[in-house]
Amino acid sequence: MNCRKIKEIISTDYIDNELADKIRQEIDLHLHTCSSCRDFKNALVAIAVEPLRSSKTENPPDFLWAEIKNKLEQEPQAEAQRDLPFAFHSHWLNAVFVISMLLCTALAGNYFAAGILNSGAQKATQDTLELVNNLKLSEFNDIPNEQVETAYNDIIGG
Amino acid sequence: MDIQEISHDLLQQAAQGDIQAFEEIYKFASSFVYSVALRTVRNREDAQEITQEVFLKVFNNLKDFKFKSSFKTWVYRITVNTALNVIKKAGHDQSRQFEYNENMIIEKSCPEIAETTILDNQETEKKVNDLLAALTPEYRVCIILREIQGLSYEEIAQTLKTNINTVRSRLKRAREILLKRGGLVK
Repeated sequence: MNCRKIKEIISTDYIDNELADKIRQEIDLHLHTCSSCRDFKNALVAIAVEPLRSSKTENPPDFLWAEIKNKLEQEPQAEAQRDLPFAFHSHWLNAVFVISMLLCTALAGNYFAAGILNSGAQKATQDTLELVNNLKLSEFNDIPNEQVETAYNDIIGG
Repeated sequence: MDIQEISHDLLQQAAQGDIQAFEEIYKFASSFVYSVALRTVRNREDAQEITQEVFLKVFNNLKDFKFKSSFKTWVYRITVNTALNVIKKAGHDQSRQFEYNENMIIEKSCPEIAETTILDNQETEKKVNDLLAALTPEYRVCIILREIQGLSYEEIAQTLKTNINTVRSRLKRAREILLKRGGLVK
């Protein structure tokens, strides 16, 4: 192994004790004889390893558990409420809400059905008038509507 | 207290919603969760919020934890991801400003020693935080898990859901940056 490779191993597996014993011994032997690699290892430990390893673990402030506990105790209630598609606290209000929604749906259905029937009838009348126009019955313009209808029935054979 | 000491029974009790059992887990795990969060975001207020979020996530998901990975690795993963998300949401690494003077241990029984301890602690803290500030969040997390929490390459890889070679190369790169900062590598 050359110095470049050895420095690479020193900066990872060697310093982190992840090496197999055999390779570790090989590198230790090299460090005895190579001052460049030895200096590199010493600098690495002093600058990038020891200061971090000597830093202490910190405890969170005491009030933090109380806050977490408080949230945990509120959580099941909040979750139960999230399960409902509507979120009234009273069952009566929930029942009123459901009944209102059903009534609204029924009324809306009724309204739309009536609308569809109306528009169907209007369309039929419009089609008839269009047909009369297409037949170019302009000569009937001066006579009353009932007679136009009779003439129309005679022509069409209604 | 170490997270490794948490028993299977205690975890199962907490998984069933037992808050008292969960408090025991908190006692075992809170210092490392808080430390990892604090070193990653380098801001005490954010670290407290992250710690809170992590424990709420752990409590709510404990019933689905299948023990395929160790509990320790699982909690580390949640902590790291939550902390990295905070940095990401902020849009940039705001954590580069750090309060050095807070939370130093004061030995009230012996004021002279206490003064020296405070100064030593402040100096160490400053050094540690200067070093961590030089790294990107991804490299920083790797270094924190290795140097401060003492995780093996395998454990870091499991925590970060990556492979050992990626862990190795991130550690190598992070140390190169730190050496460069110290004027030792061009």
